[in-house]
Amino acid sequence: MTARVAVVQFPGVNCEAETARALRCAGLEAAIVPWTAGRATLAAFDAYVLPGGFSYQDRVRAGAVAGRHELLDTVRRRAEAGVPVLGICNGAQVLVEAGLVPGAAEPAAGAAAAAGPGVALAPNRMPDRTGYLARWVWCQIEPTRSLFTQAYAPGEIVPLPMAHAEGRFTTATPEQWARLEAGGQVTVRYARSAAAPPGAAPGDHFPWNPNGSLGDAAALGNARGNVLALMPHPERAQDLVQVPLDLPGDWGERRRRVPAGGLSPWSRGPGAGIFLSLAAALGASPRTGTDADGAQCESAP
Amino acid sequence: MTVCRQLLVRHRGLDPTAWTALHALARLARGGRPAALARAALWEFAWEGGPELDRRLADWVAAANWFANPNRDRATWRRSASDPTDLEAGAALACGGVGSAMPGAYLLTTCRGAPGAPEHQAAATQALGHAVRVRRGQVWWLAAAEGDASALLAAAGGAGGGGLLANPHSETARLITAALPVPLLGDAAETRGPSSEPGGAR
Repeated sequence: MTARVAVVQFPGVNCEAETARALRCAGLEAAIVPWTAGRATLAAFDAYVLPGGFSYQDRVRAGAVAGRHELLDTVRRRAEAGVPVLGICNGAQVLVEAGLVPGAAEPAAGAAAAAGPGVALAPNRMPDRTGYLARWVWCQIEPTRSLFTQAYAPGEIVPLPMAHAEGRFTTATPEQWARLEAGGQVTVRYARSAAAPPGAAPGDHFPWNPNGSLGDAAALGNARGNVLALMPHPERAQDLVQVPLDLPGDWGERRRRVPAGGLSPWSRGPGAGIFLSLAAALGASPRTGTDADGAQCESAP
Repeated sequence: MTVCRQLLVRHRGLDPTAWTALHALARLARGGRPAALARAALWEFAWEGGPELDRRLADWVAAANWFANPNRDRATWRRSASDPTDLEAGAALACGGVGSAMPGAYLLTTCRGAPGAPEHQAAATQALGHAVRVRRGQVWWLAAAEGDASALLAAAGGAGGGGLLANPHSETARLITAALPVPLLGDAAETRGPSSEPGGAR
């Protein structure tokens, strides 16, 4: 039987449909489950994805209200049982606010961290400006135990789009962050370019690190590797046609072959690996052809 | 002599963020029932000299259009703790007049490591021809129908659970049970977490 994934929809999210499509292309069965669903309904799924958007209109802080919704108790219990949970952008903010990331491996340390989330996704910190930023960034896949990145080669650098105002991973103390680094929980880092790893030289991190995130972190997982808070949007890079024509590097080269018929626009894009990794963990095979909603999926890389 | 002026800016009408936070707190609260919640942006302007800058500062703030939208917001200037905050009236708007007569408490939140407002400070200093220090934060005011408002706010500020109104990993929170002092955002508020400036820890 095909594994079933719940795309959890809080009021204000806006990426649920394309996230569900990416999951279906990866060979999974995806259902959009609204916040009004009961706990028993939600508990019946094999995996959970919290999509991007603006849950509860980002009131108070991005993800702060949804992160305290009773449905997150169900997601937390399932995650503790080893069930995969992925949060994308606003979904990542919800997972951080709910404490699923970094999870129980990050102990309370001092009064400031005695309660509440173990890390924060704070407002972007950029030179000479504040607020929302949307652009394509280079992301290096770290060699971790995360089940969401196993379809990529360790150290592989892929382009993904990011779009957020509160995406800066930070902790109350440097020691807390050092523990996350030592535990291999930084799963994806912003890289300098298609060929250059992050952190090659100090300073001048912006714009390749778009928000001032500690450790150039673009994604943080739990210690077990079955929960991931990912700030860039892989579902917006699911198909090759979504890659910008002027992007440098291999992915840009592939995209430029599409207009002449060299590659199908629906071949796998750089973000597809996140969903393929989840599918592989759940024993599913990628789908080819047209899905039930009429969306095209092609398994060719 | 250091002169400090405090500006509190709240919505004239119902503040949707405060309304949502109030209902979330009502669902989360243990040992109490919140009745009213209000939120205001806090700005503090400080300079060396006398109060002769007051009028020009107020005129510049009104014209700068960076601090308050006069069609949407209500701005309250304060010189000392005895001046009213007007926050209780803001809470009453969201709660049908319930909150304004109840005793409440304040929670000050600031972004950890960044209480200053360098762009606003540079603009103010240039416009007024006088060095003006500008800092910013956010103030919540909560009244409880049952239980202790201070305890509810402390939980919502992250110290002891909850953390809805302040994430302790990126924000500082300070509970104030007396009148809101002026100044509120001193140098002591600038506790820093790990560096996350571009070029920081890696």
